[in-house]
Amino acid sequence: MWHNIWHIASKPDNIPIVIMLVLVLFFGWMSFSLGFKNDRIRAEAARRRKEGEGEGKKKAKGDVVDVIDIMYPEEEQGLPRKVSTWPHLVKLEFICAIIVMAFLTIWSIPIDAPLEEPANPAVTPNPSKAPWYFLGLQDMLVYFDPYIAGVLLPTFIIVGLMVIPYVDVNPRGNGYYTFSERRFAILTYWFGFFFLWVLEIVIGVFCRGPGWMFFWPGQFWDPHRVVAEVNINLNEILASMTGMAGLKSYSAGVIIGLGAIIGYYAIGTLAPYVWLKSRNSETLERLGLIRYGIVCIFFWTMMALPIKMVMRLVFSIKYILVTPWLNI
Amino acid sequence: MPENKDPIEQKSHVKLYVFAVGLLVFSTVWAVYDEVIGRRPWKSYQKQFLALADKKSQQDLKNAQAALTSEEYKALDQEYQGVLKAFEENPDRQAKVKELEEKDVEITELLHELQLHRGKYQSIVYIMEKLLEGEEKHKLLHEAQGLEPHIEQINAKIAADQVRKKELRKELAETAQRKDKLQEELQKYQTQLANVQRFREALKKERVEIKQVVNGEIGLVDRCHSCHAGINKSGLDEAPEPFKSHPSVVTLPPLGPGLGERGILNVHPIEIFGCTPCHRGQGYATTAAYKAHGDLEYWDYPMLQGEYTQATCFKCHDYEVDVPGAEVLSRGRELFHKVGCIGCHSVSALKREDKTRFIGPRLDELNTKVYAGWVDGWLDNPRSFRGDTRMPHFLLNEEERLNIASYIWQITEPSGVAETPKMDEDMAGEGKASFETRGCLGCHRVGDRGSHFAPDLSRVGEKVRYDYLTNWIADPKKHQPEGRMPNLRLDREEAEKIAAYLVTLKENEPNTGAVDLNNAERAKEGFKIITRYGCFGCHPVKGLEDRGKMGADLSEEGVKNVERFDFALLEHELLGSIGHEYVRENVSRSREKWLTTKLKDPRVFDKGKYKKADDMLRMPDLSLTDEEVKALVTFVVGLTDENIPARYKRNLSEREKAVVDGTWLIRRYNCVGCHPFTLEKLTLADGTKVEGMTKLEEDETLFFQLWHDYPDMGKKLGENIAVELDGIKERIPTMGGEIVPYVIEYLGEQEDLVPEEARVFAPPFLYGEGKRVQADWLYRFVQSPYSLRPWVNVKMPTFGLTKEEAGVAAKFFALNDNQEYPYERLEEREQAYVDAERVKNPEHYVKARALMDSKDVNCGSCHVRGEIKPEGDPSGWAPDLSLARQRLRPGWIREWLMDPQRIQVGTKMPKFPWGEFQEIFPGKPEEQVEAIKDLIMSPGNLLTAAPAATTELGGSKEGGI
Repeated sequence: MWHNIWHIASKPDNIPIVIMLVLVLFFGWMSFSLGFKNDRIRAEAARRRKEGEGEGKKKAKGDVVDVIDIMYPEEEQGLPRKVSTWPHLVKLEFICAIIVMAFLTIWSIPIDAPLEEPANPAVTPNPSKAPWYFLGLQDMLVYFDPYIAGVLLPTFIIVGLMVIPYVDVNPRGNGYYTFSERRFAILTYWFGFFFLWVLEIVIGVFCRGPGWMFFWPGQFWDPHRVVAEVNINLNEILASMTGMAGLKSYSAGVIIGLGAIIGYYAIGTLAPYVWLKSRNSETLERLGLIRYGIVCIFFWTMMALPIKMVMRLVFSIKYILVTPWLNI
Repeated sequence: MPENKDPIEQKSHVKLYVFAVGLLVFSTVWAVYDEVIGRRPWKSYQKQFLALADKKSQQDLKNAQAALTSEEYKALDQEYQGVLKAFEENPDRQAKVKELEEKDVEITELLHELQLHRGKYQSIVYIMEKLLEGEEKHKLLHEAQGLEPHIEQINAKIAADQVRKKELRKELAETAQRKDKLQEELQKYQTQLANVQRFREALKKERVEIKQVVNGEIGLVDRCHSCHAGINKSGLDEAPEPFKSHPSVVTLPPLGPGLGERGILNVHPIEIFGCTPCHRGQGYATTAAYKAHGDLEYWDYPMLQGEYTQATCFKCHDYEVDVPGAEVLSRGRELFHKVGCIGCHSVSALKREDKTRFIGPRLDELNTKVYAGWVDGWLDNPRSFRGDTRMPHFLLNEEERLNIASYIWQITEPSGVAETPKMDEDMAGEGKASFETRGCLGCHRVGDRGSHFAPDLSRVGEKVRYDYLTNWIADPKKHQPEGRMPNLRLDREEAEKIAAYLVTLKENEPNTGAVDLNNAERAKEGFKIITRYGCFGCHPVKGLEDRGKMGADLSEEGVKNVERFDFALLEHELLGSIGHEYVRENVSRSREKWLTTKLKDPRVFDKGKYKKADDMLRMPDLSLTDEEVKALVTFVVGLTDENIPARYKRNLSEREKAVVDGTWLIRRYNCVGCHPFTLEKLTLADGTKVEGMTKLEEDETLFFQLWHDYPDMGKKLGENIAVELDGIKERIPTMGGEIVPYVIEYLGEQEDLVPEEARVFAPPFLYGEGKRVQADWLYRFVQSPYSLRPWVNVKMPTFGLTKEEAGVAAKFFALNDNQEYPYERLEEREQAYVDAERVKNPEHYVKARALMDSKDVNCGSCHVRGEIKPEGDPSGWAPDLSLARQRLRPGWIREWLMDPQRIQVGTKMPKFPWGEFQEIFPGKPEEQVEAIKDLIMSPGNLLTAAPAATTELGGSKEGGI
């Protein structure tokens, strides 16, 4: 089993993926752990302020500058609020650059860029994989119609990323790690980036074998493997469940599909709105209706992927909406 | 102002910085090393090679220099000096040289004089022509005519002088022969030294750099000799790899006297062909040996190893039957046809074989030919009935066998078998005698005697019915028109006797019991089975002639995508046995492994598979030996269906093509089964090559009769040499003549003849046949043979050759001996020639006839001449001379008469002392022979008229026509 994993991981193409995974996990851990730590310190500081304990705690070496120092003027601390970029940041960046250069050089000497089979238009390699940065999209093609997975969703990703600054109305968390102050933003982003993007890349590299079939890590990539996967459209499932044959028709499919989608977005927008309104959310006020709507659209579109994946893998549902031009 | 320093500002990163810089420097140095040295192993190889070559050439230089001071050289030089002195001081030679010089001077003077006179003559003629009739004109004409004889005289003198000069030169050259030879020998030493010196000069100039061969026409970039630096140089056979010289693989004759023998690189120079067209591999790689050899994942053409390398010869040498240096490939190609692969698998390059792909007989007459009870045993396991059969084992169950038999039985048409009398004991005995003497063993086999070419008849009595067998032997072509069994033109009686003998050949009693093969339902099922297994690929079957081939098209099998080889469930096991996991790890090894496994057990890939009956593998078991499998795999690996530019392919000359076509023909119809075609070739221990025939072979010694003169050995044609069998480096046996030992053996037993005597009763030796017979006679003869040597019992059968095939045979013999083909003018057969001879010498033919009939020559004592037969037993007669006009080439007759032993060593024809018989036919020996030859070739009945009619001397033109 390990042999198989090693075989895939040690391909020159895939070594950066392994490095990426390690780095993402590391930085994720680091940011979350610092965030939690800062939240604890802040809670502690708040509690102490309430009880009126003494200040001027000695700083231990290696401590991150905590929130207190930011929120309180420097005069009261005896320390500068900031340090100069030059030389302190730049020299660290310089050393990092040198180390990265050395690392890349040492990497490039024994491990060459791979040269696989000679190009032959008559022969398609199996599996035929996209470059790593598109593997997530290629995986989406399993669950969505190509127009959605290849055009709509990538556009949403890019536009969504562009929109973030405009819908981010939470002023907290600038310049320090935190979690409790930016829960929604961090969770949404982390889910979208790590689980949907990075993990999909990793699955695309390690778990997608010949025929784009799913192979668990360590399973031999047998090109002759046969897997029975029969997926049925939603309207046909409903038709067989209810016994109403009329639901199998195209028009029924369109109606049911559109209904489901509209219902999905409607509930997704209205339910949180109602809930936020009931708690007099500050966020909702600051967002305003339009921005709130935008956030909902992007959020629920993003969530549509895992939802569709579950529907496909667990319930064998193929398409919700079936039209001659577009399937979702 | 802050009192404390910020820890961030305070922190020193010097250690980390130094470490990082050190790392960077180290990585840079390493990268430079890797780039300059690590990835360029060819630099070190070339340096090593230069050192090796330097060392070796130094040694060679020492040797060459030492040779010049050696005793041998000194002795040779002395001898040369002596000869030279004698040569130069030879008074005769000096006189000749003087005469030559004088002649030169004379010619110059004569020319000068000629020019003067001729000039004058021509100017006079010019003026004369322009004048009108008159006295002046006549005067000038006379003047011109007066000059003419003088001019002619001078011309004649000049011509005579030039003839004399030529003669003198020839004589001088002859006398200088010995001196020239010695000079050549001496020169060899000098040349040797000069060669080594030249080599060392070139070596000094060598640079260490990438060496490559680029050929745009065939898309070639080969850098193999950047590491294999010695591949193109000779004399490095003992060097370690990668510096070894390329082995010669084939030995080709030198291009001229004094030059060395040539090897494969002389005809496929690296500068044009590179290396990869033959060896495959990744020619342009230079960073590592395994990469350049293509032994890495994903490269489609890894280097072929061992004998598989011969596979690539095929794409250019696709016309030849025997590719020199590629014996395994040639065998594979031969087997592909012989074993019947071509019947089911197409290969676009095998056109000749495709036309003759039916290796099995036509099954249309089966129900009159065989006993019904025999069929099942045969279909069940053909090899158990006949060990050398080519019918493979189809692994059929009982139902299937019965169905197939039923189908074949029911489509059979009655073969018109005539009534045959009952057999009796005597017939079998006489039949055996016929069988042994008529030549059946040239193709067939009984027990351990005979040939493997045609079916083994050891158990034929269990299979074939007597009445069918009789008809068959009487006229095989009537029953199997595409078959190769020829018609021996036997009469019915003899055919019955032979058949009676053959039905006694059996191990068990034939199964004559009734088997119901008439069920129509079974026949329908049988038809399905036949279409499933493709029986019509080897057997022509009525109604199924237009069916295609059952098997996969193998035209590109050598380069077919390796993933398309279906390893089924055996992939891991098979690839594991060659140390790999995936097919792409080494494409060549994977392909070879698959093909080898398939041929050894064609249905093995069904193992463990759960398949419907119709989807199961169908290829039958061919029971191939390992050697045969290797040969076939080598052949298949070479099938690429590439488009090679015409000028790179083996373009055979007309003669070579005729020889290839002819060789194929004589093997196809098994002419080689009866007739020997070539001399035996031996390479002795010291490298000398001799040709001749084996006289006697004992345990350790071979007595070998030479058929050429070998002055270097001091042996003449016809003399025997005794050679130690261990000392023979190479022995190429005579091609053909398998039946000869059987005939000799039989006659030795039955009639107590010694081998020399018995040999005469066996089919003739066809070495030099092209020189002997006229091409158009041969063309007609092979289509319709007749008896030339009545004492030979072995029958030359009628093969039913097409006109094309007969033409191939005639051309083969003619061009093989470099004779004219197809047309030649044989003037001796024309009346004009006879008349011209009679003008020169009116008694030419009369005297020739007298010579022929004279007591000491007496051709008629052995030779038949048309109606005139010699006395004595016909077994002692010689061929009919009246056939010679149409059959023999006059040049051959002349050579034969001069000395028959030089053409056919051991022949009974005596060598006559031409030059004597002056009282009968005055003249030189050549003239006497010429006259007899003229007589033999003459038109009319000069040769065949009864002796009394030509005793009148001075015969006129009327007599004898």
